[in-house]
Amino acid sequence: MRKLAKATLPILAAMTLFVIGTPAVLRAGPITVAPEMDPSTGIAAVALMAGAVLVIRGRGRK
Amino acid sequence: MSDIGFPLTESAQPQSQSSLPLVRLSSSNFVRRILLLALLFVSEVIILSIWLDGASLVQRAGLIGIMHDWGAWILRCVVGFPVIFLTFAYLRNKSALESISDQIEQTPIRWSLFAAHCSAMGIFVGLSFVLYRGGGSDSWANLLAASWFAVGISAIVLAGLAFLSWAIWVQLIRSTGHLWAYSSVAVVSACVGGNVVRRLWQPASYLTFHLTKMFLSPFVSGIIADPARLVIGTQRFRVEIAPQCSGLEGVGLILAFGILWLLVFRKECHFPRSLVLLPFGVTLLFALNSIRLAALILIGNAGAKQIAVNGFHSQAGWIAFSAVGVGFCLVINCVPWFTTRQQSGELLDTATHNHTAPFLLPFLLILASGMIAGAANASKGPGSFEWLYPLRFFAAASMLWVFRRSYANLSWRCDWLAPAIGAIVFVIWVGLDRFSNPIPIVDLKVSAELMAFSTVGRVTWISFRVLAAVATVPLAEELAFRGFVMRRLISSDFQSVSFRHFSWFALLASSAAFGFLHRGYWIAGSIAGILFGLAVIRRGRIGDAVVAHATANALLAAYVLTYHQWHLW
Repeated sequence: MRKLAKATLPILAAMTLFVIGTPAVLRAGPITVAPEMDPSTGIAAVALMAGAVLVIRGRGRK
Repeated sequence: MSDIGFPLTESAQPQSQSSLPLVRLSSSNFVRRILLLALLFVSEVIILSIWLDGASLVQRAGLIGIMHDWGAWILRCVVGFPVIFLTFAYLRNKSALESISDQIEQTPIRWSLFAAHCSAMGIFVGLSFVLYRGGGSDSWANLLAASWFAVGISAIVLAGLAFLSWAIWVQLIRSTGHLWAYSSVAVVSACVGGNVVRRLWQPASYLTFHLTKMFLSPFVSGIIADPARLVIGTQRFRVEIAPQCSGLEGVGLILAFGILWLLVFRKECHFPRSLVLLPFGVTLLFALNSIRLAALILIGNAGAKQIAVNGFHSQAGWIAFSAVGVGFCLVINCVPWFTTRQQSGELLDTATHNHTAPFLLPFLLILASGMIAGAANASKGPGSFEWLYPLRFFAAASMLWVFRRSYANLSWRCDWLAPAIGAIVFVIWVGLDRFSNPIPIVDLKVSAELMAFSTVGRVTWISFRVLAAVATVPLAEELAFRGFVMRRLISSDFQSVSFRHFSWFALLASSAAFGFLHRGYWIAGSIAGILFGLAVIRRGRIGDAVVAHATANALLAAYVLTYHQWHLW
């Protein structure tokens, strides 16, 4: 099961990113198709998530 | 809050580069070249997509019609193929990449080809403007479109060959076997799948509609709900649930984020149990989207229609995604049932070994409080009045206070050049603004909203705004971008990297990131980032960058207040 999960994950990741993730991330950025949304909010949110991951992963790292 | 500060190992004393204990990935040369190439292409695509309007190609025949109908799909494939190919090549063929990386060390970037790329891009931009403006006969338009394609492809090839030689590209394709074919199939499948998923937007909107009604009913009586038009609300305020608000985008984001996490940190996750977090995150975010819509209606029903539409609507979805995303990271990273790290002792003494937090948390708190403050805005976009702005000041100040001891070993000194750099940044910032807005904008909207405050309220708000601009923002941003990002791009053990260590890649990438976070001022922000970065590198003192940044912000504050240029804040 572990091997199956590991083998499937990269395919899942690639598919998800390009099927749903990319349009959503692009909407967050400057290429927005929703004029009612403020693109800077999405950029800030993505930066916040990236920073949070770095801080959480920074734990225990020397 | 307890003081969890601890001394940082960064020394203010200059270190010689040869003595740096840098942790380098053996394939890092290849990764850096690819990232630089990606940065170049992404910047060019973003600039072009802002300037060119695809709507002008509607109902045109021949090659231009094909461009309009298939342009977005071609772009997705062009972006998707290299990303999938390189990701799998990195994961599955590391040894091949290491060999390529060694060769890259011997082959510098070919600036002549890069210059040729820039020339081709110049022609491409010129052709784009003629093409998108329209006019002319069909045969002329087709000839123009064919030239546009040819020049565009030439520009891509020239950039590719400038960063990596032909021999290296051939070796990359050969050493990865049939990966190019699998990647092609994957990207085409993803594009087709993406189109199919859009058909789920409508049924998902119905589900969101009913969930919103359920969450709303305990708080409001006499709900107006029209399932046929997906309109829901009250007598005073109602909304239409558009397909984009169905919650599927949040689902996509959390799926992409969660799967990427599981992929990158797969060695630290227990499988298959960690996969449980994916449906849990998806369900939670989908439900939160309906709660967001219910809250939106409640805010509008309470009389704050402008806040509901302009502030809360834009921000609440991102706040929910960030909260679920951070929760996902914390759970999978810290709960022993999901992670293998604790068993190997890697989480021991976690509270005292987090050297990243003092550099990043003040800035992250500014971002987080900015989202919350933005949700309470009655207007949106540049020049909007953020009445909760002091929240950003207190958030950053509290984090800087908590980690104050961690900053003791950094060099906070500066010399005369720091304020001079700040003044230059101010001139560039205002100059670029005047260049893009030749007729000066006077933001009467913010002035009017400020005038609605009492004198005490007005003075308090302006005081905190200025205080944040000259104190907490420069400190937090310099710690994050020059203290952390610039050095982290040189080595994963960023604290071993001297502030004097110079790397073009680190300087440009950290400055680009800094620029992008300054919304419409990304060019000025990127230039400012480069100058602040050079200020740090010059003497190895973060104090120089902080003072330069504070000077620029102070001058900008004076300019904004004197000439009512609120959009610059």
